[in-house]
Amino acid sequence: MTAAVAVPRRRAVGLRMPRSPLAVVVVVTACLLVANLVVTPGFLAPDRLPGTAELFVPLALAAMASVPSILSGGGGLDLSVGPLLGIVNIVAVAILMPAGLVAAEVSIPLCVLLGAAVGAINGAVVAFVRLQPIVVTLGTYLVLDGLALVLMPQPVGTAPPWAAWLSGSWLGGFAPRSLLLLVAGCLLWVLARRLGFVTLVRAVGSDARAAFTSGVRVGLVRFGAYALGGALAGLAGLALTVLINSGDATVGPQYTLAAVAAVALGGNALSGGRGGIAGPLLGALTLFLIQSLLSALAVSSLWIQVVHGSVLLAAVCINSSIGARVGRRAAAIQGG
Amino acid sequence: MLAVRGVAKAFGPTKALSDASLAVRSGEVVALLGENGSGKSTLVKVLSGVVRPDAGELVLDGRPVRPGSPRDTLRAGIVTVYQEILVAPDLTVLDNLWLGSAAFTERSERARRRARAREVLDVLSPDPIALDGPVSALDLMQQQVCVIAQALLRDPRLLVLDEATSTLDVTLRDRLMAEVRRRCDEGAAALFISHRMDEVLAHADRFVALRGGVTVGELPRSGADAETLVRLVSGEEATAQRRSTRRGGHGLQRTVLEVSQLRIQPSSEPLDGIVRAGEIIGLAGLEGHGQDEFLQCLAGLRRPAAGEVVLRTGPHGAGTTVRNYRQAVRAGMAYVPRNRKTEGIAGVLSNLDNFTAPTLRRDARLGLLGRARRAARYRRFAEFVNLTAPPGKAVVHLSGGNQQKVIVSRWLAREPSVLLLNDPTRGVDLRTKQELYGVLERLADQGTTIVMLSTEVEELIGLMDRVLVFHGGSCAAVLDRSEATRERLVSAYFGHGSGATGSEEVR
Repeated sequence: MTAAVAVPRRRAVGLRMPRSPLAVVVVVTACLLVANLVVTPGFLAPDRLPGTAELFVPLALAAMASVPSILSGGGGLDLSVGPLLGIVNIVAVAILMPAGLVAAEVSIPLCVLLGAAVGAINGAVVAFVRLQPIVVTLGTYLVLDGLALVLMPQPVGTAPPWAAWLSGSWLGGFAPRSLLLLVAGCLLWVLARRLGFVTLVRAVGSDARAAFTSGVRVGLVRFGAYALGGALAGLAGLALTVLINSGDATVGPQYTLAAVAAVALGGNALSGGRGGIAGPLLGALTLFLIQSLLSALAVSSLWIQVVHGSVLLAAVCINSSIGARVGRRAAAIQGG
Repeated sequence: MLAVRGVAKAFGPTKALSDASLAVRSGEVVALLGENGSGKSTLVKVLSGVVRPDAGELVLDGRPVRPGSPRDTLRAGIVTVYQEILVAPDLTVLDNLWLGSAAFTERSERARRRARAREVLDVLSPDPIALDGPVSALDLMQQQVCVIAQALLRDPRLLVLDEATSTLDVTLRDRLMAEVRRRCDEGAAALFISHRMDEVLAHADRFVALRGGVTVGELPRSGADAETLVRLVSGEEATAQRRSTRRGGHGLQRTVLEVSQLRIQPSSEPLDGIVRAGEIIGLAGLEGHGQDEFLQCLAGLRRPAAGEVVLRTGPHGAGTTVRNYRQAVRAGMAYVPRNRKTEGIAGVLSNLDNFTAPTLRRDARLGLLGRARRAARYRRFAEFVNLTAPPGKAVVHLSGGNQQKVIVSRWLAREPSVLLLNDPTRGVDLRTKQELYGVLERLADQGTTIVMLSTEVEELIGLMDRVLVFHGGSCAAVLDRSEATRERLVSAYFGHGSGATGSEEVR
């Protein structure tokens, strides 16, 4: 085969491969958005938008928080994301508020740092003690869940003033302020990418041995991935506080599995190495739109899990068959 | 420039290196030679920082190097291209090329990174390789080019090429060696490991040989030819060998295994042959030259590219063509896999349970297991292989040798007519090895056909009735017991089937 023919064709395959999983979730999201608008014509109206955004942001940030650990490979997974949302919420309400730390510029960074610290603990055990991520983060899950109930056995109906401010909006409802937290999360990710850290995480998740022999400090990168995920979970915890405008120990843990589902829906490889945050964000949007569609149709909320699960299975099946087809095509081109 | 002195490294009870020394001068291409298990690859791993040596020292440019990780040795200027193609398939070519280097994250360096990557890739490959596509979209040869380009981009003081050219075609190999030579003329140096004798002879300035983890000699380029190199690698001293006392004369026995027009890969030479009852056949070759694949074809674990394997184990020599593993097993074949830990044993179970797993049905009457029957059967086979460990002990707590005995006896319990073994004496102590040889010989005397892949020259010479030597995916030489000498075997390993002595029959 000659170079002149082979190279452009190969490039085309290379570009198509990472995009096709995203294509599925884009189509699904668009359809769901239209369906929501049909069922609820005022779905994106300014009076409803802030509430809608508030509901979406914690899930979106939780999905983002699950991305780095999964991307780092080696069975990477952070189950403790959900309870971490919860503990951040409770620390903000039950510890920082009574201590007088209610100013946004103090308590918000503290909450993000708390998230990063818990993520760092997970990361240290996974990367340096080399235990299985699923077991380690299940442990942290239980510890955080228990701690949250110890700190706040009953929901507390007060929230710091910044939470009330963030639930407001600008431009008469068109620009909900809760989206600022999502923007902050995206900026954090972009920063990590600019520093080359995301590429290192992908390298480690793609082939840890290749990364190691190339001189990458594999342990350190994995550690950093969990810490980054923790920081994003901290932001998600703030968004949760904005949403419930109170402290509640029982809400957070529900986000763990939804976050993993969003990442899978978004087309990221759960084995690591492949994907970014765009897919998981769209995945979170899909889950969210399904939920609002079902509630608009007055379907019992008990059915939501069933539908979420079915959509997830279907999307993952479609993604993997697209991946297989692309792989075959690439192989055929190389062979021919 | 680089001096390695007295390096030793043991993995558990196995001594991979005991006294390896090496000196490489600036501007020099040194070839490191050795058989399988001679410690070559361990020495490479020590140089690259993947493995920490137990003893010995490394000195680079007068400064001692204490390799703790590949990162350290890379920073010191020792850059290794490994035998396996180590790439991060999901990253782009450009990211792979700069992965782990100091300039990887510098955004200001971006344009320079692209330019340098382009430059090095173009030096190596006549076909342009796109920088922004994922490496997973490239074929193996292009991936290998990426790995080599990554190494060259680091401007190595010492470039270590461990079988790095095996997937490259002739053009690329020549381009690479020209580039290596150019870098050496500028003051770098290269350590070069290859299983192709012609390549070694063409490119190296000096030859260093390892045997049994010890540096046993070196030769300058002048005066070195294939024959002297083989002698250097294999060792001239006639080792006191254990010669089998069995009579080889099975000529009248019936044929049990038939191979016709078998090609392991589309490019390999077809192989025809028959194996009779009671024969012990050895499969040999340097790692990755097709002997493993051949054995798997026999076992039905892999489909050959062409041709077929027939087991004549039925009554009156009725044959079964091997299509898959299950069917081969049913026709009386048993296969002892190479990797005990991952393929052979269920570690937490007792050795009695491990022994009975595939033959559980024989202990059952009406679907219920008979404990006494099982124990009696175990005793019989444990005695046969001289396994003394208590039956209730978990297999992980046994020594490697005893584990191997459990596995071998497990497959013997099926009373196979063809027994295939994939390097069964690897990591097994000397005494157990001898015991296993005895077991295999007794089996052969009882009429079992044995085909065994081995990486040990001693046992190939001492145990086998015939040895098939593989090179480049084909059977390159067949040595009868009378012809099998150390020198001839090693010579055949390097593809010199007829070169050194000129008398073997080469198919």
